[in-house]
Amino acid sequence: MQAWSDASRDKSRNARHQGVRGPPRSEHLCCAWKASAQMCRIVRTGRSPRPPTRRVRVARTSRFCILRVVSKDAIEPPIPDGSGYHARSRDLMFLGIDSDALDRWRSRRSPLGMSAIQYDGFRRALLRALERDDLSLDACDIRLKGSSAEFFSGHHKQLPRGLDAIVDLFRATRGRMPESWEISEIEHRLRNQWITDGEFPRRRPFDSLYRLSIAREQSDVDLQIASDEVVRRCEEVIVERGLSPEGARLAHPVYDFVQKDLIESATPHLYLFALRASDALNRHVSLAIFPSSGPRNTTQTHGPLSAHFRDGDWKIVPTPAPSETSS
Amino acid sequence: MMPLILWRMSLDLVLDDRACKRLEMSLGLHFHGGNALGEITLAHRFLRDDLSGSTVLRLVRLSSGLAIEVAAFGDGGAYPQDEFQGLIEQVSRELGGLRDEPPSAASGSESHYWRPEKVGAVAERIEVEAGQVVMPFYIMCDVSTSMARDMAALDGTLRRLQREVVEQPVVDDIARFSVLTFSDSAKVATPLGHFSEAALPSLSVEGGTNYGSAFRLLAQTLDADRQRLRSAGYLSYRPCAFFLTDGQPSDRDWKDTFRRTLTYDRSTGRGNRSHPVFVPLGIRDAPVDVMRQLAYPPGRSRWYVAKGSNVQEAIHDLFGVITSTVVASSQAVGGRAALALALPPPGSDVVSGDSSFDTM
Repeated sequence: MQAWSDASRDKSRNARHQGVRGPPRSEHLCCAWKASAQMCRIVRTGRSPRPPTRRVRVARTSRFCILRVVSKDAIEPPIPDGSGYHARSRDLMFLGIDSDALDRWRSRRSPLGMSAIQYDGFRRALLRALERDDLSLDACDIRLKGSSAEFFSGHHKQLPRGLDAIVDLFRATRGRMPESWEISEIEHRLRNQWITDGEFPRRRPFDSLYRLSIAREQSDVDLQIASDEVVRRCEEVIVERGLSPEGARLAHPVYDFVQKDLIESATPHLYLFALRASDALNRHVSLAIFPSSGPRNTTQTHGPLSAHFRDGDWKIVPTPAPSETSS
Repeated sequence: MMPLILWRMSLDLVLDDRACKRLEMSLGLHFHGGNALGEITLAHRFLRDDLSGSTVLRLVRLSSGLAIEVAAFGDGGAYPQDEFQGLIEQVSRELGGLRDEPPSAASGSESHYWRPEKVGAVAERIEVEAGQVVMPFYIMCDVSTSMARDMAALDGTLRRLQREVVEQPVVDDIARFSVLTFSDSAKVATPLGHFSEAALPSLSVEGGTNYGSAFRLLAQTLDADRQRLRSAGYLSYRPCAFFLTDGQPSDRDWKDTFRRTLTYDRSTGRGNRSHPVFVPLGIRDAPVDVMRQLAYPPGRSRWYVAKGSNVQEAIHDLFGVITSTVVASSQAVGGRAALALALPPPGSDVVSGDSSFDTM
């Protein structure tokens, strides 16, 4: 549910086509609203006074509603992270995403991290790889997933806030403990250059770990390919080795995609395409193979982590096209 | 266009960002990042990439740990030999350097506590650890004229076995392979060694089916290999010899030759005390009663006969037995188990049974 004040709604309408609104502002208010608006308790979390104009948005969660006063630098149309936070111009600035890149991303002319020319080349190379692997385009449903397509990463990838979370994530990503000066640098970037008002997105925006210097590499480009034909070839690879293509031999026990070591044997040109594209874009291109029906819908057990097909997924048409459509 | 692994080295390496950076700088590897789920290829560099094929130096995560390898796609295997050698030396040198690197060059002793003691790469293969255990396998192939139509299938299946072994570093580390061929006479086609370092010859048809020549050559080869392994500091499991044949023996005294060269009589002390576990695999006209008598020693060995009329499928099924046996046995070595002969693949035409050697 979203409720907008009339005044701010008008302003919002007028400014919608502008993309990014106003200079970065650190202040905002948020309200936790249980049961009714009368019980609303306003908690001020910003450090500076409330701005003269503000819009109030209500996001309903499972237990209660959150009333959020959207700061003046909010991006229009909003890019929500699912927790009530909406991407702001300060985020774009920190992440190095300019308004052109945002426009291209919104209109699906190129994902985040690619120019339109790069994306066109990417699709052409993908098409060639599929052809050389003798795969009919009709037999493949290709979707772009992850933060390059959705701005924010999945719900399970939360942006670290405190020291413990930063150190844990650094260790997981880099394979070692950070030096104390490295932690200071990350905290400086996080709190002094980016989130200066204490209002954090819950999920990690595109390239945020790289910009914070937690990760060495930029965010990757996730390709989800759903094709019974590719799965059948992967099964053949197993059978040729005298094994039965059951259980974890074929599908990853946790993520349910076809085990990635089979891809290079089943579709070698697709594998080589991913390596070449990684070189060209300087960011990893990750392939995940599923049956034509797509990833299983695990909403019941995994909630929003389920990777099943959704309306609004970014479907890639490998042939050159002016823009791509939602599924 | 299945990839062919031209070279592989297992790594015992803490792959932190500093090691990544160094490998990036020295070997030109492009790292893919630590967050990609289920990724096998962690870093790569194209050594050659054109329409006819690609050769990729890559860092991979296998079930047994990290490995660096050169993979060829298409005719990517046609990589200049001198350049290839230079590359291997460079990689080995660089990974050796990583092993010598102090735990944390940037911070001195401050962060020593978190880093595991096992730092660096182990360029095994060349350096033999004292007492390292190996398990020798001998694959004896019948190349008599009756195998003429099936030679390509035999050749291909043998190469597939090689590929499957090479893809599993744990198996490749422990198992050693030798390929012997026999017809009127016998010869060593591939001397005992790592499959990953072996160049398999193309098998060609020769003459008759003289079992005795194969038994004699195997006994001589076993003896020579045992001494060579021992002098190199290896501990060796009892070898296992797979004997694949499609016909009746043409020599009359094959039983005596077998008994004399490849069996041991404890009561009399006669025969070959270092005999192998001899596993006969029969196809087409190989008589079951002969196969039964060749399974030695009783209780440890089994015989296998593929009864189907499709010889290529039979070869495939019997090599399935070899592959499963090699993998299961090599992986069980750490757990002190020895040879674990596999059962016939379910649904195949292969029958198997216990030895009848005593009734010989």
